[in-house]
Amino acid sequence: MSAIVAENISKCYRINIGPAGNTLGGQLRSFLRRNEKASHEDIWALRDVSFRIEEGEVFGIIGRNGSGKSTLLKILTRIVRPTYGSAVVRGRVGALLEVGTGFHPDLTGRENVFFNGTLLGLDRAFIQSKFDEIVAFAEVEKFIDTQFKHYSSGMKARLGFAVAANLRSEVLILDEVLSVGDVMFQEKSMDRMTELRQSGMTILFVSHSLSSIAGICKRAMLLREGKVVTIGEVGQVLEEYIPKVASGTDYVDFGEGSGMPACYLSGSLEKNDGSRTDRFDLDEDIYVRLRYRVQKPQPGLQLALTLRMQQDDIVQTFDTDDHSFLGQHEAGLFEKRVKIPRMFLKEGEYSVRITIGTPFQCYDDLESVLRFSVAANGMDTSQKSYRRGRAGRVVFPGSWHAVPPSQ
Amino acid sequence: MTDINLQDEAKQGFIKEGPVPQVRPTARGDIGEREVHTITAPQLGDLRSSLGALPEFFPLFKVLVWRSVSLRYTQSFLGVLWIAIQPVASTLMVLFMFNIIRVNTADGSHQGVFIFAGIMAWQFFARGVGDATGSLLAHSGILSKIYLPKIMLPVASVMAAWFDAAITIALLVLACLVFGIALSPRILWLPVFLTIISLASLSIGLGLSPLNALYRDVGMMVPFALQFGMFISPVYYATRFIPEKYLLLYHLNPMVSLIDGVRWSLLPESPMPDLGYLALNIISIFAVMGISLFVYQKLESLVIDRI
Repeated sequence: MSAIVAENISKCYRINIGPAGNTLGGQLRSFLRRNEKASHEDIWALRDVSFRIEEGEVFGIIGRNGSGKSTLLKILTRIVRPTYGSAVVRGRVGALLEVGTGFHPDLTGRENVFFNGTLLGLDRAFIQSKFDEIVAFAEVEKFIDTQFKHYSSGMKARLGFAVAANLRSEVLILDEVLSVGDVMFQEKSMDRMTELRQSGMTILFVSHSLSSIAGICKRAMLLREGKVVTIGEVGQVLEEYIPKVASGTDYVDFGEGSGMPACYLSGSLEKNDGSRTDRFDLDEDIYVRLRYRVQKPQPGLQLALTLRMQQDDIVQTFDTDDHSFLGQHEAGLFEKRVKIPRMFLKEGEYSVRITIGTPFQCYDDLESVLRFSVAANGMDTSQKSYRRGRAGRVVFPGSWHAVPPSQ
Repeated sequence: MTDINLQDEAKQGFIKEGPVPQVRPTARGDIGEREVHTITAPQLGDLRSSLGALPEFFPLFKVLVWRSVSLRYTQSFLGVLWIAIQPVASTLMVLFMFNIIRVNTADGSHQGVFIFAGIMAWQFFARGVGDATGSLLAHSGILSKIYLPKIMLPVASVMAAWFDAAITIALLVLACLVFGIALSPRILWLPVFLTIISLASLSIGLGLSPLNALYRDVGMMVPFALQFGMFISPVYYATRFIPEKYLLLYHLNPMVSLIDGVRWSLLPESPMPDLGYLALNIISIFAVMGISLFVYQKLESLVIDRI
C-alpha cells in the first residue's frame, strides 16, 4: 500500500523585481502602473512532480541546490501549499526539516526541550518520560536550567538532535538535517537512521550527501530544475546524478546546470600542460579546472573547493583567498583553475567537493564530483614523512635545519 | 518518466481499499486507523479544515501561550512585577496631571480606581491587538519549518494577554478593597466584558497578522493607531463628558461600551453602558471578525511563500 502518492505537484513563486515589493506604497504604485508589466517574475520551483512511496519504504530525494528538493518536502509536510497538483499522505506525519526549530535563546534548555518537542508533535508526558535520556544524550545535564544563549553551538545541536531522535510517526520526512555536525555526531545520527529504517517506518529522506542516500535508501528520485529526472533503484539514480565519462573521474559534465543564479557546468583534473588525468605523481602540480555560468550579474560571488579523503575534509580553499574582495561577475561563462601544489597531498585517493555562492546563499554544492589519486611513482618514500600510512594528512611544508647548539 | 501510473492508482481509490493497517503507538497516542492527509493548492474550505485540526494541536497551543508569557518576562529584572508597575505608574501620572489642572474626569467613582480600570481594559485590548498582529512574523522561523494550523498563532497571542489581565485585575480588586469600594455581584459580568474585549482584539489582530508579515507598513501603523484609539476611548475620562450630539459617532468605537462595561462591573457609581450601543458594538466586532477571517484565509498561504 502506498504511504505517499504525489501527483503533478507544482509550485510557482512570484518574485518581485525592483524595489516595489514589500511596502503598501510600492504595491499601490505597481497597481496603478499596471500597464508596465513584468514587475514580477514567476519562478517554477517544481513542475509536475509525481511519484509514489510504498509503506515501509525508505525513499531518497537527490538533486542539486535549487532543484526543488526542499520545496517538495515543505509541500509534503503541509508547510507550503502547491500551486497545483496534489498529494495524499497516509499515516501520521513526522517532519524534521531543521534541528532545534523554535529554540529560543532566552528560554532555558528545559523549556526549549518541551517547546521543541511539542512542535515536533510529541506530547508532554512522553517528553517528560524521555527527558533524562534526552539531556544525557546531549550531555547538558549541568546546564539544563541555564538560558539557551549560553550554550555552545555544539550543545545546541546535540540537544536539538536528542529531542528529534525521539520523533515517532508512521511517515517520517527528513531534510539533510542529519548531515550537519561533527563526525561523531554524524555517526550517531546514521545509527539512528538505521534503527528507524528497521522499525518499519516510511521514511522520505533528502540529502545531497550521496553516501548517506546510498547507504540508507532503496529507491530514490532525482530532481533537476524542479522536474523529475529519474525514479528508481538508488544505484541507478545515483549513476544518473554523477555523470561518468568513460575513462574515470577526471572530467565531469553537469549538463545544463541548475536554475540558480550561478552554477557549475563542468569540472576537470589536469596537469600543468592541460592534459587530463586522474592519477598524479607526488611531485606533480594538480590543477582543478572549473567551468561555471552566471545567470545574472553578481556583485559578490565566491567559489570554494574542498579536498576530501574518505569522509574527512583535508583542506578547503576559496577563490577569495588571494583577494580580499568577492568576485564581481557579469552574466556569462567563466573558468577558473585551482592549483594544488606539488608535494602537498600525500599518497592516497582524494575526492573533490565544489561549491559556489555568496556569503549568504549557496547556489551549487557538488560532492565527490572529481576523484583522483596521488602516488609516489619512482620515489623512495620509505624514510619520508609522506609515506602512505604515516601520521598526518598533508606533506609538511616546513623544513629542518641544523643550528649551532645553544649554550 | 515515472515508473508508475498514478492516474490509475488514484481512480481505483487506493486510499479506501485494503485492510486496516496495523496500529502502532505514536507520540500523540494510539490511533485507531491511519489518518489521511490530502495536500492541495489553496482553496475554499481551508479555514474549516484548519480549524478542524485545532483540537489535535491543542497541546502545542497551550505551550505557545505559555511561551509568549514566559518570554515577555524572562530576563527582566522585575519580571512579572512589570505587569503591575505599568498600569500603576500610568494611573499615578494621569492623577498627578489632573490634580495640577484640577479636573476630575471620572464618573463619580474614585478617580484613581476609575482611571486604573480604564487603563487595564485598554492595555488588555492593545496588547492583544499588537501581539496578534505581530504573531505570524514573530514565529516565521517556526512557520517555515513545521506544519501547524497557523491561525493558532494570533489566537495564542490574544490568550497570552489574559495572563497580564488576571494580574492587573487582582491588583484592581485590591485597590477597591484599599479605597473602600464595595464590590457587588456585578463583578460577575467582568469576565464577560473581558471576553468581548479579547474577541475585539482578535478580530483586528487576526486580519492584520498576515498583512503585517507581508507589508512592514502595518507594523508602523498599529502602535500609532492604538495610541490614537486610546484617546478616542474613555480610558482617562468618563463617557459622560462627550457632548450628546457626538455620542453615536463616539460609540462607533467598540471599546467605548466595553470599557464602560468593565467599570460598571467593578465600581458602584459607574453607569451601566447603553445596551443599544453595546449591541451595536458587539455586532460590529463580529463583522470585523468576519472580514478578518476572510483576509486571513486569502493571505495565509502567501505569507508562507514570502517568508
